[in-house]
Amino acid sequence: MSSGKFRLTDKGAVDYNVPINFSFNNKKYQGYRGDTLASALLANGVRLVARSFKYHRPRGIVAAGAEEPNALVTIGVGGYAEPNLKATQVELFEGLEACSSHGWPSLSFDLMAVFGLFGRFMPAGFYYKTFMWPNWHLFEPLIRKLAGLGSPPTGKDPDRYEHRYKQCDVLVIGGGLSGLAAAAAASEQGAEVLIIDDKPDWGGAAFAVAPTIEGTSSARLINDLVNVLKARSNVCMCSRTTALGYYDHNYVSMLEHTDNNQTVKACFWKVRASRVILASGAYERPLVFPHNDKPGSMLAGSVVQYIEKYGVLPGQIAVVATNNDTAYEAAISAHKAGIKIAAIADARPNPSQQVLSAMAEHGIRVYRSSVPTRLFGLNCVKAIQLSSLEDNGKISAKGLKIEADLFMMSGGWNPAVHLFSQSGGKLRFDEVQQAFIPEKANQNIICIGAAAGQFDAVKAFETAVRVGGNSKVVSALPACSGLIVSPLWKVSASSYNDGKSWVDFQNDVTAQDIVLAAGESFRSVEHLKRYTTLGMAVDQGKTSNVNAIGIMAGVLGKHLAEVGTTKFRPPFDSVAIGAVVGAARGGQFNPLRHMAAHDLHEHLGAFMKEYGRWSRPSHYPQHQEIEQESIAREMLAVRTKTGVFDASPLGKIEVTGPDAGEFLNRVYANTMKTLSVGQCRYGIMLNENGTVFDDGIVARLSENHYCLTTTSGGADEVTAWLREWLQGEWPELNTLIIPVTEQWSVMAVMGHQTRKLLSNLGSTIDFSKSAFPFMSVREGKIADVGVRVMCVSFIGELTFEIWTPAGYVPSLLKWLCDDENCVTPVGVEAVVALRLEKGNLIVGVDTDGMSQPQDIGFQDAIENKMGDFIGRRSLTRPASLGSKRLELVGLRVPRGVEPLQAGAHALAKELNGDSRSIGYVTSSAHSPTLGRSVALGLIAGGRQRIGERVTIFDDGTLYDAQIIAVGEYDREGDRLRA
Amino acid sequence: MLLIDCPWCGPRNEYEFRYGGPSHIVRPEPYSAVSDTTWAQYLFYRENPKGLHKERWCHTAGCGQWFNLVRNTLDHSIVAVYRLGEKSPLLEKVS
Repeated sequence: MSSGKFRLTDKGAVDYNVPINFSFNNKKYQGYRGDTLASALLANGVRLVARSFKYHRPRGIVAAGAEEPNALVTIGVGGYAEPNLKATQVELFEGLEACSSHGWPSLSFDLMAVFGLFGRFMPAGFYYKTFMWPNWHLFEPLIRKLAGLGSPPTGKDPDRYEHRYKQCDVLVIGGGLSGLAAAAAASEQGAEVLIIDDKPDWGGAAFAVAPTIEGTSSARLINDLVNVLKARSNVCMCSRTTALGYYDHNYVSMLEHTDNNQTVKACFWKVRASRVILASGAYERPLVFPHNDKPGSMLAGSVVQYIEKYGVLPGQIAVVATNNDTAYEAAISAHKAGIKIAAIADARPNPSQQVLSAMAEHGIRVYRSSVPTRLFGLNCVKAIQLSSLEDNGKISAKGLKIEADLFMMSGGWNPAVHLFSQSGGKLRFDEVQQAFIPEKANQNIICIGAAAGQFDAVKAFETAVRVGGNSKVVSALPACSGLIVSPLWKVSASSYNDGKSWVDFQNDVTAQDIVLAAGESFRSVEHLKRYTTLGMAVDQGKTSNVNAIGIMAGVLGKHLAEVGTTKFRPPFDSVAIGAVVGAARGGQFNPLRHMAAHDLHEHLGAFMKEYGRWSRPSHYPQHQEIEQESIAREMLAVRTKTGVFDASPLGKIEVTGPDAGEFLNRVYANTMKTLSVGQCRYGIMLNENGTVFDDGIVARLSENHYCLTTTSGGADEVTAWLREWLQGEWPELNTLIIPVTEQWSVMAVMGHQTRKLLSNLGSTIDFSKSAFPFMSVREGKIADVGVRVMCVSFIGELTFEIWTPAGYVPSLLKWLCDDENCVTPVGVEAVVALRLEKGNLIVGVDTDGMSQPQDIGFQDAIENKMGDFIGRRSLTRPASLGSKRLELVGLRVPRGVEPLQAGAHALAKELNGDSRSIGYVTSSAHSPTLGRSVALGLIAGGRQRIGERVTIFDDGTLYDAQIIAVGEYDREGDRLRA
Repeated sequence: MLLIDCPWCGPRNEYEFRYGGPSHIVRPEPYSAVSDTTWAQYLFYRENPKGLHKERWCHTAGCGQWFNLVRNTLDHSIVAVYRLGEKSPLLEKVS
């Protein structure tokens, strides 16, 4: 165990009183509370933290935040394992176990690094070009194994995630000085303010880049603002929270990480804000030159973060390279902290006199017109080669080698415009700052601070107060200032042997790859991105994209604005799928609906299955019965004695009002006008294309009161459909539509003895044949509970569907199945097979998206109907009139043939002898009543073919079958008139 | 995620609603006198404007009412919401 030897005791916000033990790649270390894994590793002198994606090159920590491209680690094991976390974002906790996402067999000795030796032979597109013959897919598995970032967790994610929703007047994204100032000004006016920051604490980068603002230290200012905001009841402050996506109408998704001892691991927020203030800061750009990817090569601003915030020295002797003034501030900070600044290389010939004299004051040597041309060292920077940039832009052949263990670079700054761009805002390329900055907002969003290109801390602070305090300030984005950058997109290598210059560290994309892509005509940035995979890794190119655009612009001789950026897409930062899913997993993913008698069904031995989001009894196996035996027994019970089926999921809709009858007549394809009170009628509904889309029973309860049933899955859709027609097309009809599916439970009592059985029910309803004929409905009471009963049939036996208020149905079922009545409970499978014996279709099973009424035997019902109805005109379109339409028919197979599979094709011989499909089987089941299989099918011109023989092709086996009329059981319907 | 101002319930999230396609589509009648071409136009042909689009939505998870709105297809801003049967406040400007 070693404690940090690169630690300053007089700086940083970490708590030195609370040491924390952790391990990295199975080696034990110590850090302090307030450290990130990255700061603790640097404090322990750990420089090599990762291997690169493609070439397995040694890599170190580059940045201090979300933009970190290299330091990817896996935290935890098994199901808890979370791969590809950035060490710069992982808060240290006691017992933390982290591993590099890469490196085999060990990080410091990576066998795969041999790939790096062949690096020059592996440019963009190398694999695709090389392994084309005979087939890329032969090589892909091996290549995928060698590349890749991290490994997926090996178990189910055991962590808990939650979702939260919030509305606010002002959402401030970014809790740096600008964000805090804007939040304070907005909340001062009484606005409901939500302010978020991805770090555990507030203040962003301000204390590092702006030590004082008008005489007050920025640390003091931050502290005061945070206290003000915390005290206000109209302010909600969320640290450890990252805004991920910006959607229409100011809808923002965010991820809040809890600290490590909470039961909820992360919280996924969805926020609707009237106004969004984006104060997300800026990301520094690396410099692109040969071998710029060695561990110890860091962004200058990030070095300052490690010094000032964590009290960590990332090195002892540093060389700084820059094309702007901010690196000088970083150099002074490092110098004051005790890092020896060996040299500053400035690409500009004339840095400002101000910075030059400041450097002279500290005795720091500045090389003008100088650029870094190579880093030396294996697993850590050992020396930096500087070369001078001649007037013609060429690099001088001579180089100056300076020994150092830290390289601090600044290639300019990219305002973090990701969310602004996601919101639809337009960017422009700013020549002074050499960066894309916000130009025109498309939603109510305004950028402030560095996110707006405002690098002058005093001006940024003033703007933040003005923008926060006045909601009218929407369009006048503050002009950027405080930063002048000289373009330096890439230091041209003087010869090929100088080695690769890395642009995207995480996906191992080099400047050479970009030049190659341009040469092979992948010139659009979107093509460049996909060809080279630039910006497609976990960091989404936060440090690399603009450099790549600059290099591409140079190759094409175009302006950066012309090349443009790739599209910014959510999420801004990586997010665990578990957080997006939240509680909607396992049984909560697609919750099953339970019927009121669910428990009783289970008590009766039901085997429950899912049917259209309902949990329903499939069958009720008894005494070791297998499924088929159980189904057959239930079917025979219905045919010979009495069965009961819980039909509660049946869709139920009440239609009332003086025009209800007229309305239903227009909605159903068959006539409903003539239905008299107390009668039921089967009806089919069409859409405007004439396609059958639902069916059910219409019952007329009283003059102005109808009740209709829909298929079990179709209730919601039919309700919305009926409402659209009533409200949109026929508003003159005085009608009300009320869905009541959940209010009523339905027990279907089936069998020829049901009249006798139900007369003992103790209801006020007369179940005699004369008082309650087939296809009629009665209302009455069972022990003071209002019920409705319909005498109908789906399965070919006399059936009474008893509707009770949902809660009362278990007692009814109990009565039916008690020792005296002995009614057999029947599951869905038996009912589906029974109706097949009878030949009753199920819409969507025995019909398809083309089936019209004439295809399923409703030709006469349509022809006899007077007046218009939905879909009527479509029934006389040319395509509806042909004789080759798929028509519903029965299919008879020889005894002993197992039920056919739905979808098995019917083949007929053509004149030339070829067999051709003329349709297919829609449903088939074993019929214990008939002692063989029964089937329905859709056959082209089927009704004309009745009597013909066809061959059924069922998964490779051929069967002989005969086309017959629909329905094999009780064709005359005698059973229904019992 | 659009924020839709239901004329009956007020502003609600998009997922409470169901989209119903373009509004102000006139159903040709009587059915016996409608040509195949006219019927096909009614069934299948729709405008796909760049800019303002009048469309029908139903507040299925709320009041169950259908209503109209005018949405700008360029930026998804909703410029008007009105009840069925009411004239579009922007009818003249919308193509």
